[in-house]
Amino acid sequence: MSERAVNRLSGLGVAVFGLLLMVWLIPVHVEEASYGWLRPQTLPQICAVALIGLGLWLAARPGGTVEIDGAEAALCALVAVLSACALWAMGRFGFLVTAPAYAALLVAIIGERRWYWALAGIFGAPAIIWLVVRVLLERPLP
Amino acid sequence: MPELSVILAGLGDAFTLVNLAFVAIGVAAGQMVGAIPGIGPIMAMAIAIPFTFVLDPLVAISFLVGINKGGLFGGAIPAVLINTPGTPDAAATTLDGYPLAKSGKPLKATKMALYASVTGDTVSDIVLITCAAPLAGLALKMGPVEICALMIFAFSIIAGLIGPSLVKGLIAAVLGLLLATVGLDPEQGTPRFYFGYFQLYDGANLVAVAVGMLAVAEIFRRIANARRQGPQPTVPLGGEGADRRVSWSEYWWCRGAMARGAAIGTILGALPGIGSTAAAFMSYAATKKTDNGGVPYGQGNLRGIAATESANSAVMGANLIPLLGIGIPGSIGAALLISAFKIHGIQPGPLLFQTQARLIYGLFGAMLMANLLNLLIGQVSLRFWAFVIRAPESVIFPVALLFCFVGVYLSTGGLFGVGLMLVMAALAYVMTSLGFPVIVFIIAFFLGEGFERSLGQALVFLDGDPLALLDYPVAMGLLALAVVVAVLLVRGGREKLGE
Repeated sequence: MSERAVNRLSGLGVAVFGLLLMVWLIPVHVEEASYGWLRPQTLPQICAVALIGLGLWLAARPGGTVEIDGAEAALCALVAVLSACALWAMGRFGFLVTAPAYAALLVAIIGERRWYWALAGIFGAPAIIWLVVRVLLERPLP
Repeated sequence: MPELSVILAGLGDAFTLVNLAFVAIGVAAGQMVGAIPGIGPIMAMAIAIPFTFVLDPLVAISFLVGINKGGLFGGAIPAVLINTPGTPDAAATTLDGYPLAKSGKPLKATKMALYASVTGDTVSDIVLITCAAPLAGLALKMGPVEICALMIFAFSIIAGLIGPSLVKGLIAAVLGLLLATVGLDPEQGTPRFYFGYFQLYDGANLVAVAVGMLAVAEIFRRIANARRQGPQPTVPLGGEGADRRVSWSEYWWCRGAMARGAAIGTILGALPGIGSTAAAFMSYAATKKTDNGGVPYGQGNLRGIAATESANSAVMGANLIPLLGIGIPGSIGAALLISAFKIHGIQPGPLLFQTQARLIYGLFGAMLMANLLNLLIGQVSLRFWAFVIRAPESVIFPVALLFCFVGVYLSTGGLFGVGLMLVMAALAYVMTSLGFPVIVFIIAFFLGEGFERSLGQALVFLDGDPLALLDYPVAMGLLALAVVVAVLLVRGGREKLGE
C-alpha cells in the first residue's frame, strides 16, 4: 500500500474515531452537567470536532511520512501479546515465577544463541529486579 | 526572590553525602545508558522515575537530572567509537568524532566531547540559576486569565515539535489533550471516560503513560529488530602519548566553538520544543562557517566535536527555565521531571520558588555538582563504557522491560497501571509507524489538565464574554504571541526539514 493511501486511511480512522467520540463515547461515558462555563463534556466535544475535521483534512490531503515494516510490526505485536500474557500471569502466579519465563521468551525472540548471555537475560534480569525492589527498596513485587 | 538563608540551606542539602551519592549514581547510569545505542537517558529516566518515589524529593530529582546529564555525554561515546550516536543529540558528533577516532585518536575525541559537554552544561546551568527566579516572579503576578493565555502560548510552542506534517502534529496534540480529560472533571468533579475502572478516576497515570510511550514502545521495536542488526565494528580505545588526552592548549583552541555552542544550546533550550539535536547541528554549522583553522571539518576537527557537544549539553539546563519559571515543560526530559515532581506531591511552576525554594536551590546545587561528577566519572570510566557498547540486547532489553513493569507497578500501586502502560506503548508504536509525533501527544497530555482548569477559571473571570479579554492586555499579548510563535515554528520547522 502506498504512503498516500496509508495516510488517507489513517485520516479516515481518526475522523471515524472523532465521530465515535461524539455520538457514543461522550454521551455514554461523560456525566453531563448543564451548568457552568466549562462543562465536563465541553473539552471532549471540542476534541471530537477537531479530530473529525483534522482526520478529514488528512484524508483529503494526505501528507507526512509513514514507516510501516510488516515483519517488525508482527514481532512487536507478538512481544505486546506476550507482555499482556505476562501481566496476567504476574497477577496470578507472581513475579518470581512469571518473570524468568517472560524473559526467556524475549531472549528467544531476540535470537540469543550464546548460553551464558541467554542465562543472564533469563535469570539475571529477574534476580537484579528482585534484589533492587525486595532487598534494597523493601517494596512488594507483583 | 527567596531569602539568602533558604538559598544556602538548599545548597547545603545538595551537598549531603546521600544526595551526592545519588547524583553520582545517576550520572554514571546516564553515561552508561547513553553509551548503549537505542536506550538513552530519556528511556532511562522514564524507567527510573517510578523507583524514585521512595527517595527524598531533592535526592530523587537530582538523581534523574544526573541521569539526563550523564546521558548527554554518554551518547557521544558510541558516536565516536562506532559511528552510531547513542542518543539523537549526539548525531552531529559523529561527523568529526568518528573520523578522529579512526585516525588513531579515539580517547582524544571522547575526552574532547566530555570537556565540551561539561562546559556547555555548566554555562547553561548558570543561566538557569540566574533567570528562572525572575521569570517565576513575573509569572506569579499573573491572574487566571493570563495563566490560561500562557497555557495556550505553551500549546503553540508545541508547534516546534510537530515535524513534517502539520495536520498529524495537530491530531497528536488533540489526542493528548483528549487523554488528559480522562478522570474527574476539574471544575465539577464528575467522572469522564473511566469505563468502570475506578483507577481512572484520577486520570491516566502520568508515569504509566510516559514509561509506556517513551520506553516500552521503543523496547518493543528494538527487540523486534534485534535479530536483523549485527554487531557494529568498534574503534578500539588506543592511541599513544598526546593522542590519548586533550591538552590545555587544545581545549583553549576550541573555546570559541564551545562558547558559541553553549550560547546556541542555551537559547534554543530556553525555547520549549526545539531540542538538543537541532542545537548541535546549528552549532556545528555555525562553527564550520566561521572557522577555517586546523583539520578540515568532517575529517576529525576537534572544534567540530566541541561545537556539537557543548550545544547539545547546554540545552539541558536551559530546558528547565520554562519548567521552573512558568511550569511549562520545554522538552520531553523536562516533561518527565514533571512526573517526578508530581510523584512527590509537588506541582512544578512559578510557585515552587515560594513554596519549595529550598528544594529548587538544592536542585541547582545538585546540577552544578552533577557537572563536576560528569567530568570525573567520564574521565575514569571511558574504557568501561566502551565495553558497555558491546553489551548484548538479550540482556539489556529483558532487564529494561521488567524494570518498566515493576516500576509502574510500584508507582501506580497495582497491575492496572502496567496494563495502561502496555496500551500506551501499543498506541505509541502505531502512532510512530503512521508518522504521528508521540512527543507532541505526551506534552499535550501533560499540559492538558492544567489547561482545562485554567480555562475554566478564566471563563468564570470573563463571565463567558470573549470581549472582556480586552481588559487583560497581558493575556491579549500572550495570545497574539502564541499565534506568531505557532506560525513561525511551523514554518521554520518545515524549512529546516526541507533543507
